[in-house]
Amino acid sequence: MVRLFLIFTSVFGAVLLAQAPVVRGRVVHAGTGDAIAKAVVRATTKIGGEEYHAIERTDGDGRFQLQGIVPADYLIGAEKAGFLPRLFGPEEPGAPPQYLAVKAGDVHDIVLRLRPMTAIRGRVVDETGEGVNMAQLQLLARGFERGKPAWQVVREFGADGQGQFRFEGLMPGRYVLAAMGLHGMKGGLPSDIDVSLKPVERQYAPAFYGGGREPSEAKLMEVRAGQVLEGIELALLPMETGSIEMTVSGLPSENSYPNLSAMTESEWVLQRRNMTWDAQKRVARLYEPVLPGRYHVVGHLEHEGRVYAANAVVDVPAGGVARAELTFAPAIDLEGRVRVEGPGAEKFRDVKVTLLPGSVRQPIASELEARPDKEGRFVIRNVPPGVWDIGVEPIPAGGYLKSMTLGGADVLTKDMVIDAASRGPLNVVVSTRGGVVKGSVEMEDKRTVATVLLLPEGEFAHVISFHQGAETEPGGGFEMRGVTPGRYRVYAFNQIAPWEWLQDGFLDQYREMGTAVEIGEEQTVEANTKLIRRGR
Amino acid sequence: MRLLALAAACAGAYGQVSGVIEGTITDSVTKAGVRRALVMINGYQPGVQPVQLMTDASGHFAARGLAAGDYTVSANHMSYLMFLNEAVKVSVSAEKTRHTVNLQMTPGAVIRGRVMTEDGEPCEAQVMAAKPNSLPMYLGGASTEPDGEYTISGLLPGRYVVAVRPHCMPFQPVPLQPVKQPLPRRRGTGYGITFFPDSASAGTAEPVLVRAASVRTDVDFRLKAAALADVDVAVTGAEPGRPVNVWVKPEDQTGPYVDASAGVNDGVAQIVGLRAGTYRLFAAEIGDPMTCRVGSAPLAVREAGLLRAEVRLAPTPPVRVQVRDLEGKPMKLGYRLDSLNEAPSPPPAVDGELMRCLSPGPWSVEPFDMGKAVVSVRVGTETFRGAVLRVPEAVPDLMVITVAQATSRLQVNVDAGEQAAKVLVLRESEYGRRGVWHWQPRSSANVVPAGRYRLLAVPENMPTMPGLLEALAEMGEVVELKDGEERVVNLAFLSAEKIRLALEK
Repeated sequence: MVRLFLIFTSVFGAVLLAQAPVVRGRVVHAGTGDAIAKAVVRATTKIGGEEYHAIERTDGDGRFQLQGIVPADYLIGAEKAGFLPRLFGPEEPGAPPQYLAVKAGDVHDIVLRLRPMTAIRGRVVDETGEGVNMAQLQLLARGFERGKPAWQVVREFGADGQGQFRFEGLMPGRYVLAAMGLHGMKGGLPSDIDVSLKPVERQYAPAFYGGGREPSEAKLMEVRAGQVLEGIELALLPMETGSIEMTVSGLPSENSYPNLSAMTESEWVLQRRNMTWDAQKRVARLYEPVLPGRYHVVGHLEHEGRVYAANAVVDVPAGGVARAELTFAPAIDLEGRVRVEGPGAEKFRDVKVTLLPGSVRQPIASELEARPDKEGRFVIRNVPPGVWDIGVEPIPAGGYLKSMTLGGADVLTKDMVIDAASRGPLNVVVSTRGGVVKGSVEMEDKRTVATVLLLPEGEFAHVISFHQGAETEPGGGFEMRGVTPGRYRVYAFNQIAPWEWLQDGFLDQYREMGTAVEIGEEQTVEANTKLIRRGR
Repeated sequence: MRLLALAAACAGAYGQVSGVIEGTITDSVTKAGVRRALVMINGYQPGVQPVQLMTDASGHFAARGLAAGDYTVSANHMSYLMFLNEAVKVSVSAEKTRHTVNLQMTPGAVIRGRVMTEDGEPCEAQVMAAKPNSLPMYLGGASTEPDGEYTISGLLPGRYVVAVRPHCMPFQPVPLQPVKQPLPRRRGTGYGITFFPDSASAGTAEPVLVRAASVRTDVDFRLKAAALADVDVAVTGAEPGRPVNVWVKPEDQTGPYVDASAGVNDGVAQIVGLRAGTYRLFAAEIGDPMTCRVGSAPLAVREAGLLRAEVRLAPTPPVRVQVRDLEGKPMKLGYRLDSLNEAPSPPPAVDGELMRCLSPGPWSVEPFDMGKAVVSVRVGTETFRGAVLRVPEAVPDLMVITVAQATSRLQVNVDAGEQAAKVLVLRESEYGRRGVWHWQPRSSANVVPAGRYRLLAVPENMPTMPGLLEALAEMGEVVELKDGEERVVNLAFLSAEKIRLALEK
């Protein structure tokens, strides 16, 4: 019996071994072909609807072999410090990754070519050409915030004593480089001065590589994989400063002591300057002068449990003082109700409603939240004026946010703007009956991983929360659940950057290549579409 | 004639002179002039604006047209340490209109190196530098770049314990398995907090010596995988959905804090990479300042692997805190309340009666007005003599702090020559140094509560950051005052140069 068992297991084991697929290969430098040791190789797949992964590391010759691989379609990627991560697929730059179809008995020997990351190195100098000690640098890239194009800080660096800086390990792309002195750093001061002549105060203004006062005016630096831009020099120049003086009203008591600050309006960097409060004259002033430009002056305080807030915009002139009124108003208590409807709605009673500030330049730029009671009623206390985005979670799987209204006005597809006169209730309806869009992408090679986008059309095209995206499965299929009912168009791209489709005019050129669909509540719609090839 | 002299004196008093302050800023190490140093001349009479200049190539500056009055002259440069910059007082008058002020600045030091794993891969990490006698207060820190390099600049010269807190893990192969299944940890191994060059504790670390204006570029770490414990900390008692901060601190206070604030998930925070030792866990709910759910628990790590611990957050209702005088009358007095078991402390109070969140355990009270002494603190039904109290497990709704006018007097005389000096008064207790006061040296005595003090006379513009204060405290003079006692102390002035030399030893 024991012998029979041994024979059985050895035969079965041999069959298994014979059928066990092998995925192995090498990771090499895309430019030189040199082996890359200790690169991490990761394979991911779905088996029975569940995600699986296997992880291995290359040896000294850049070789690897993944363990435990079973027949399935895999995405295989390699990463190593100093190199761009790469997924298995065609070699040409920008080509989409592909699934590796692994069958019983297969032996796959693949090569993953990694391209080195990029770097930007240089120096910040002052008006005399001397390196600026501890200058601050920011690398900016074009991105999107709340669905609108915006410059975003992707990396920061503090220069050394000689103004030298280096941004290592950068992704290839287009950047704008900005430099500035430390907060309030003086510039252009004389060594010999007659104070009776009332000298001018200057500070170093932010400088952009290639010139300009805003990122949009600066030179766009394009760095390709493996490229190192060296010898980049930025010059900081002193600029005459100005100040702010605000006459304050609307404070809840004579003894109120408001928190006051002024923030730069520039879209790319937020600088906050504290202000002093002269209680006798009811005037707020900056502690220190600032560079000229547009500033948001914000204030807040709490009095007997009630928050009061104020916001005003001033333009600071060079060598002058911007004077304006700053009027405090009480924050409001926002009452509301959340209703979940549809099959299984009773399972989703424990939801949370969060208000997120639409701008960091609001008087209080932090989250506010409430948990509705058993009847779904909630109160969010002390909501200061400003634009607030509404977050409701969890949304049931396959469900969607059906409506949100403030005092009867739609705040699902429009901004919720709160002021002292705003009145609730904030009514939220969540439905478990979202739509489903499923289909297939028509493409030459069904192993390609395409990006499928479901974008609203018509009056709701601007509503970012209605946008959905998915990647194709092996074979080109895709599925998106929890779709808000309405008119949409389905696009499939071989490559597209996050939110790239929000750029002005981007979709116009591809509109005819998309597939129009109309989706109703709880409806499943099939939408097949053709692959849109970009980048060739 | 007599009338004319009187007129001239009045003219001088009202600033009708054209004073000049000029001088040179030099590097305290090279003795060379410092180019483009920012010179600040501050006047103290009404209507006088501060003057700022920048030195020329030889370090020279001159301000002309100054009105009569007292001025402080100080200088600053990004390459030099602000902590050790000197300031000098001058008085412009009709009798003396021209002053020469020469100042020295101490250049900062830099520690640079790489953090790599044992197999030569760059490791993402935080690197911190502390004076050996000021742990766990760190004077400088930096994060590694993608290639593992870090640079800590602007350091005081002297010896440092350099610690690295790695965020990387030793590589571990994973055969195909569900993503949601936890990785089969290489049980109990990882990269723990490491003190330069490769020590597990600060006590056995090799201090790194940096001299003024020098750059040490060889402070490299080669991390070795060691037996470590990961701790799953179950946090109970938090309001559902409310974020919680969890952190752990070595009991001997010689290592950096380890926090797991990002890892709190479903009530469990994971703290990774603890070496064997005794620690204390802390947890505090973030959000509503009046809710105050905090907790702490001891943690002993004896073996590597995955440990489990629990911290229970106690809902601590806000306590109404009143300040009263000896007759029981309410009074306004600024004070701070500090937890003596490291629980989060509320912000300082500047009013007479406020609602404060106080977790059970020992606390100390420190009035901002040094002339006031805490006589007793009544917490619920229990009364504690002095400034140390214990909040019971059942947190009461009222605390009364009774204060009296202090009866001891302390006069500190400092001969700082032309230098502008300040006196740092550190009150010491069995719980360490709880308060720091900045005094102007003067001939009249200050009223202070009885107790043990450490006194330091330092340059007026020297900031008193915690790490620096700890490093300097031992240079101070100790004074013990009894109730009603009067004491005059003649304190030696610690010039920037003396401090620099002491710290460089």
